[in-house]
Amino acid sequence: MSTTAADLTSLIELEKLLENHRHLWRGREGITSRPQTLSTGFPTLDALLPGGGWPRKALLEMIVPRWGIGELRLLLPLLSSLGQTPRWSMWINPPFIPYAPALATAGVNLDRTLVVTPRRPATETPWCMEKALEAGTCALVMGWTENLSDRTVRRLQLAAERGDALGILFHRRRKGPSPAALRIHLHPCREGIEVEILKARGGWTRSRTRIPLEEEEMEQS
Amino acid sequence: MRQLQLTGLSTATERKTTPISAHPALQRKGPLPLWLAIHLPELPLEVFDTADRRERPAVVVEEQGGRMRIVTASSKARKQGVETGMELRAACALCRDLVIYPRDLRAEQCYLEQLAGRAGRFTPQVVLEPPQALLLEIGGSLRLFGGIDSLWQRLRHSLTKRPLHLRYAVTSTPLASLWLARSNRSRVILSPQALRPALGELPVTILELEPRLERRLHRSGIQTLRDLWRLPRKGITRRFGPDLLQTLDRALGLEDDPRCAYIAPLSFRATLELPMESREILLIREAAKRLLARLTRFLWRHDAATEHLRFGLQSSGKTVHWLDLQLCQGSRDGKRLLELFELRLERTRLDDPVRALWLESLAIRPLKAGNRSLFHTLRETLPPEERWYELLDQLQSRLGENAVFSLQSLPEFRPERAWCRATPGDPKPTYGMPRRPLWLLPEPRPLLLRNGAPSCGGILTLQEGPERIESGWWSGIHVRRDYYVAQGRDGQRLWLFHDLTHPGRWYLHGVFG
Repeated sequence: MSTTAADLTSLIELEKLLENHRHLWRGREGITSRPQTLSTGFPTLDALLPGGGWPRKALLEMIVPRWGIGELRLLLPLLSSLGQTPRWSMWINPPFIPYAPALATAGVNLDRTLVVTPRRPATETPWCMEKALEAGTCALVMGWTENLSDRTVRRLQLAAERGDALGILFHRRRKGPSPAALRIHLHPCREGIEVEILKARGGWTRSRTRIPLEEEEMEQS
Repeated sequence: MRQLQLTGLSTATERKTTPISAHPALQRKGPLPLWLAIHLPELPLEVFDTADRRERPAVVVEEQGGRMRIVTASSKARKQGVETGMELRAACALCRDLVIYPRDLRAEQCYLEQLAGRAGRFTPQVVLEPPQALLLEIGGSLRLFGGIDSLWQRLRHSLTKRPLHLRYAVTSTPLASLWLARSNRSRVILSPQALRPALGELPVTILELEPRLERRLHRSGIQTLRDLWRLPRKGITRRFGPDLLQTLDRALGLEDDPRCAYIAPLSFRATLELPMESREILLIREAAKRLLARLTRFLWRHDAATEHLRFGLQSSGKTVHWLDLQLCQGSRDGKRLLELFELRLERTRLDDPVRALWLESLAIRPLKAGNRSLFHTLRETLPPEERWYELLDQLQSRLGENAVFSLQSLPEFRPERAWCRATPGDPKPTYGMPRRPLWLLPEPRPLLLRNGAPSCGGILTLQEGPERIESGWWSGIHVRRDYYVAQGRDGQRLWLFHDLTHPGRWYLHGVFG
């Protein structure tokens, strides 16, 4: 069948759109640009995540059934590596007090750590996270909150991209689909923690892995 | 003894030279300078304005040489034998119900500045002499105020409402006035020639020299300034250094003693009445916008920025409800200040309708401006520090200052005291402890016991421990605990302790994250 000139121009425009829009990914070509990532510190987890580590400018949702099964220890290598950069790490509405001597032993830079405890967490936590993500001066923004609407999560995702920051949202309950770039469900297990990747931008299948989190003898700082 | 030739320049060789100030080009025209020195001997005590301080014997202490010594004692305390320089222990032994205040140098400085501001009504040149004195140059103001007595009366009246112990002296040089005021010889000496006899009786300690030098002077038999003047100038310079002679010459007026005048910091205050009494946020915001525009114009003119703002909401009646806005870094950006005001206003409950809005700016400092490029939006060109301060200001305005803090670890064995809040940004030393949980509970949570073992949603298996922590017996908060690491249900790793002062009580203190 012959194609008219009008059809051709619209095809060309469609091509341009598909090529240039960064959120459209064409499956048969594979990932053309590797997203920038930060290493997790655990090689088995690095192998599972697209790009080989935590995404740089994105929002990450962590679903943790109970606090204290190892979610912070999973992030410790990231926290200590960020200590060298001049940007800040923010802890917004943490469930307990982040304990300074333990963080210091693990190598976290306390001079670049900020803790924010809002009095009305439901409304103020997302606001604080958005402001912190888009300011550009924070490398990592961690927030503990529940029941955020999809719209709010999308706003946080966009703010993270604008401000070149990694945002981590900790939930207790698992919801339906969400606009975050990476969704991880953590399960407790005997020697460490089991990481299940529910959704990863640029990745294919859901995968699970066990990460051992033994108490290593940390060097005293 | 040969009469000494006093020369204006203190040099090692004796030369007959005229002082610089006698040069015809620098002759002062107009009235001679006259310096009034005001010494406040009890200032360290007077900054604490409490009823206790007046009714009971009170002292102010400071750590000197590793011991707590009395800096100032009130008259009641002095009657019981407490003296300046005494050790605190001795004073407590002499006087039972002593009220003790630690010295607050900042409050003293603020108080001196306040007095200096008030004294500025009488003369343009006020000099702060910390820690406890003020100098005023009143030569030019005598004519206006009709003589020294009348000026002194008015000054004394306007300085303060609280009863204040003052000592004063008036001479033609600042140093001489200070010395006379400090040694409690209230004199008015108008002619420069009469200074020498007046100052002669003062002890050498008034010069506030180094202790070693003072000892040498004492050992040489020099007790008063007159003894010093009797010695040959060359000898003094050789044995005790040229500074001593220079100080004496300055006190006698033979050398110039220029002083820096105190300039009161800029302040801004404005008020605007709303078109009608209202609780509408929009109206208040409009008024705030106009007031901030005035403030920014003022700041631009003076090339300054503000760090502390106060907004006052005045309802009908005289009471004004003040909202404080503290900034991390000085700013004169009207839009940003308006945004911070809005965030702050959201937190406030407006009970009465607002009639007028006040704006006061307290801390105005010279602006430290960076370079920016010409053709970009403001957000992109802001350096990272400024963006960080902007974020901090926004968070603090909306949530309150106590809600935003950084962390600091302390060298302490008691776990709940091994950390504290800190101001964001200050570099601090770190003290790490191995085997500590990443999360700490604000208060240890008591655990129920089942069959003698602690349980938290199920019996807990103790995995590691015990770690005995026993500390703090000296401060009244004595801690004797055995800490264990336990595995709970659902894989949580918990940090518990057994309180040994109350055996059988188990608490949960932390969670390993």
